[in-house]
Amino acid sequence: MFCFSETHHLNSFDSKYVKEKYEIEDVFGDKYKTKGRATGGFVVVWKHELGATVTINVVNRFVIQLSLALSGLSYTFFFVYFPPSLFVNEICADFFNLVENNIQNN
Amino acid sequence: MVILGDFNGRIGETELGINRASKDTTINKRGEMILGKVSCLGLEIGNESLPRDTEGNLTFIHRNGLGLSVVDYLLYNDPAVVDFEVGKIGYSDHLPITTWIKHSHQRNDDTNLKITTPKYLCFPSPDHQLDFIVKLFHTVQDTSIFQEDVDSLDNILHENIHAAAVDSDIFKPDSSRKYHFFFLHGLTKNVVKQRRYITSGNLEVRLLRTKISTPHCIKKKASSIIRCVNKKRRHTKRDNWPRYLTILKQ
Repeated sequence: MFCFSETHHLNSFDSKYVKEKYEIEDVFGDKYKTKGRATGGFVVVWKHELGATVTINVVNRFVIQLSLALSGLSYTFFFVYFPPSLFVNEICADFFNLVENNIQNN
Repeated sequence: MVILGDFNGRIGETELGINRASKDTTINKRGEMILGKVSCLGLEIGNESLPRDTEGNLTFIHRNGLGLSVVDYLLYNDPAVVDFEVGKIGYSDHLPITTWIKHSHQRNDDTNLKITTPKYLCFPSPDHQLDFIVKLFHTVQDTSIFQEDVDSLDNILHENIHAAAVDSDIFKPDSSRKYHFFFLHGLTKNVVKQRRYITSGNLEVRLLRTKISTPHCIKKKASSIIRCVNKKRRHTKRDNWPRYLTILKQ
């Protein structure tokens, strides 16, 4: 599986070639101004064979949580993109709190 | 747990006073925060520590060629993570990062699940049975329920059933053990008291437990047993009752 961050896209990623082999999850960017491109955005792609075992949770526009249950084992992945803006430091700290809760629960 | 992404924080060459190899020597505020959280949570940084990235390769190269840094990280606490690599060709100013995870099919021997065919399930042919077993096996293998989850759910279910039984007066903890079986199967206390000499040897109880499955049958069967025993009691001594009950059981 792979993930692209900061994709700036506002429409679903439509590619027959990719969809033949992979499942695609889009998280669209946010557009705050009429001009220019959107900010953020994720595209998570994984193979069809993993289809039923994957659960996606969009935590916020900077973090995606992906849970994978495979052969009795469970894995948790976080794909993150924190922009350089200073205010994101707080969001970054919140993310680590989320990680801490996740570790304690498991 | 595996965390991958662009943190836009630079952690430099030092981690908790220990020098690490890195091509980016700068450290910034967010980098300090990341280092603090990583040490608090017991996470490990995949950059510069896993076999394919021992040098701490740069993950960000600005178009002007002057801005060079390591800002994309792999943080993990899962022993399944075995490798990490920074790609050489990127289609943006960031280079792709890749991690390898070694997936073992079973966590340990205790969690192995044994699949057996249900006792009362009928199949039209042996081939159908085999297909069913294979599908069931794969379904169980692909679920994330472990033994401890099942145990905790089982405890919750047990407590709820117990609470519901106490509320509905079906289950009376104060009554003697001798009457529990009859209460649970709908027999009144008076009937039991009247016929208590029959149950004194517990042979009837065992007989009921083995032969009868539904409450209605229990009532019917219990009354017939009691009738038979009473009938025989008139003509026999108390010592001979078990013999008649054995005949009934047969």
